[in-house]
Amino acid sequence: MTPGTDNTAVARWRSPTPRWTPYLFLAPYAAVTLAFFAYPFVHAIQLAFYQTAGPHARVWVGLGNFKYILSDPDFRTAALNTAVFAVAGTAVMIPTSLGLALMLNSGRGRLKTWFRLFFFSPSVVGQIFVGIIFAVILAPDYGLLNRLLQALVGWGLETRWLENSATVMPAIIITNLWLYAGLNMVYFLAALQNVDQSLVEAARMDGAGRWTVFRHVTLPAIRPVAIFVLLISTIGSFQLFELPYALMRSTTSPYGPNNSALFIVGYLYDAAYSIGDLGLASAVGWVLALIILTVSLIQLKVTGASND
Amino acid sequence: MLLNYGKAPFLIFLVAVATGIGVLYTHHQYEAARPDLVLMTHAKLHADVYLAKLPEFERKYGVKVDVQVMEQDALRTRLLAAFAAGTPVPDVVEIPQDAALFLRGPIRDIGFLDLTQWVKSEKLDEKMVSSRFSMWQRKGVIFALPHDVHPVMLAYRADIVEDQLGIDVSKIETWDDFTAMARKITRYGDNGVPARYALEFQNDGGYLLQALLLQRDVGLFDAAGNVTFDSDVAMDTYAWAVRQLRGPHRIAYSLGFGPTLWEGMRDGLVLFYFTPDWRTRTIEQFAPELSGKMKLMPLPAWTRGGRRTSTWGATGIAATRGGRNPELAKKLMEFLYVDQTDGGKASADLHILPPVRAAWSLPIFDTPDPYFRGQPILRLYSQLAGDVPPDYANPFITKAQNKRDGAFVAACAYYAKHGEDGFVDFLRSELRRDADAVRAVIARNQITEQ
Repeated sequence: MTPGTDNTAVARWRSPTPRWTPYLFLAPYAAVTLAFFAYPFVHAIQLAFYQTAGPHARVWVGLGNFKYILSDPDFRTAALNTAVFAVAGTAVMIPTSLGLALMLNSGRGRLKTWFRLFFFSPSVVGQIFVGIIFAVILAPDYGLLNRLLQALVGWGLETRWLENSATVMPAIIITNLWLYAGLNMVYFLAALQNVDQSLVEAARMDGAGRWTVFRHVTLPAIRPVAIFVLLISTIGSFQLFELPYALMRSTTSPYGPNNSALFIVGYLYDAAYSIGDLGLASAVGWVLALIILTVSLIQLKVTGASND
Repeated sequence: MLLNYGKAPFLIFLVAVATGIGVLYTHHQYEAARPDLVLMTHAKLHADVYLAKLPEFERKYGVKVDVQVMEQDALRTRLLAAFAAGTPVPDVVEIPQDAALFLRGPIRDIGFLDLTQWVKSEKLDEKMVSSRFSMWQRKGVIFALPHDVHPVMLAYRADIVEDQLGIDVSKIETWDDFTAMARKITRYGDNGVPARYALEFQNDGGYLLQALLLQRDVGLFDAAGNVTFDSDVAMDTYAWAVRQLRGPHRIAYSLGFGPTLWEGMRDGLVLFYFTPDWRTRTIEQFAPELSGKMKLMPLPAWTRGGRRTSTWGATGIAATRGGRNPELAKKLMEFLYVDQTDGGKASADLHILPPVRAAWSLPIFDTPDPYFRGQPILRLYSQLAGDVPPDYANPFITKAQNKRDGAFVAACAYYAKHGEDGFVDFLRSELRRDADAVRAVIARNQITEQ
């Protein structure tokens, strides 16, 4: 026995921090993760291969749920609506958020803080609240928007924005924009404030105009944040549910005329709580997860973020 | 020992221990003060009335009853989750009609007590309007008592219809009579004259279309659970409603629900409103300035001498299998829904006619309501209650409602664009397709219904 070995053994024996202590600290987190993430995760995989009815009855259907989803016209409508919302919503969201951030970044004085608060505040109140408010704003005859249109152009008092399948999607996109543009603006604002000003000044001294500076200095500098905003906006778009549900409920069915407000998560909710088949709902969840994963990977590839 | 990791982890440890003790203590306190029965309802108004009535029950049986209110959708989803997970549930639950999803799966798995024997032995199905049990039973097994009958009448702006326009509504017997009258008084807001429509109707059909269909004995499903909303009678009703809403001589207008409804009612934008008994209270609450300006009339019939009412909405009360005292739960249900020793005050407060036939002769239902120009409104409803059509429960009711309303919206859009040209064929194909979609869902799910 060497003296060193002896010392180590003694030290371990007398250590005030026994080896199991870290596990003790990790135990609550591990327990919560196992109970509320790992178990439901595994259970959801298993459930997707069953058809369920009522609290306990279930029958093994293999890939039946997935085949049903892919052949159901309602799911195709939901998937198409979701894709349109994701593309159009993000295409409007990113330039608007960036525009607001650029505007506030160039402004000066105390008004800037107030504007920041003004634009950010809708994201604090949540989708249900905003959905209910916009249902009132967009209401025919007595809604704020129609009253405004009537006063300005003498038209539009009876326009039914939420009861016409052609106008439902724009209404949801605008409401979503109002809700989240301020939040995304904050991300862009933080990125803009970190742009290296010495590069901007150098470019200007070389004769670059405002557009050239923005295109070749600012935009590359905020690119990681832009990709981040693009990713979370897209993922959020695919998970859309509460906003259209709250928006549409006061006027027509929660999924809008001709299912124009039916999104994938709405289809999932419908499978679970209208049909009562939790197996089908689980399968929809997995299909959605797969779609989100695929779209996110494509985005990372296209934007080149996966190489960074 | 823990201090060796620093103050922050030690503090977190202390907070964790304190929280654990707090949770255990709170749970212990709750268990110690736990009531004998927990009643959960989706309607705050119901809870208020029950709270006033319950002390008598508590005295009679020496028990404590706790009343809890939960939003309708939250109640449905949480209760479904609790049944599936086997977690604690309330002893007695009030459930709305669209919660028929609770009746899915094998009968033995349904989370509510089978009340069939009890209902028969107490002759409750004879004391109450028997057709109202149709919404809470499956395969002949009764799971809930009906709370209401909800006959439908038309509430109208008497100050405009009678005083200004001089219309005698007693001469309106059929929907044809109504339409003829309505075309004379409806105006579309041209030339600066404010618009005025005769009839309230939803753009997606919804509850109002359902009331019209039920008036003609066409529900979403029949007693055997077959989908019926694509029958010839249903199609005829759809076509009628679409024409009134979108036709060149349209008489109907959608005000939606909520603030726009009350504004439209106050402004006289729409004059006649589908009004089951419960809605009279809502109208009084949200349009108080119309007191003395409104009146009620029976629904026009589809044929002369035909049914002058329909039904809209339903609530039932059920006892859960997981409840601790099923017998006491049944006594509570009977006390709240059948017992009328309060002289019908609870029902009158809610403006809801009880399904107990004997109660209809109670004097309280003759009380004139000044809001409706002194009409004894519950007496008027009671005169129609015996003719209320049955509406059959089905676990797939929400799916069917969505499909039916989707077909109606599509038909409205078609009519607005093409008019009568090909309209009937289009309507038939839409209804058939959507009804078949519901049939396919039901057929697919038969496998787990055995």
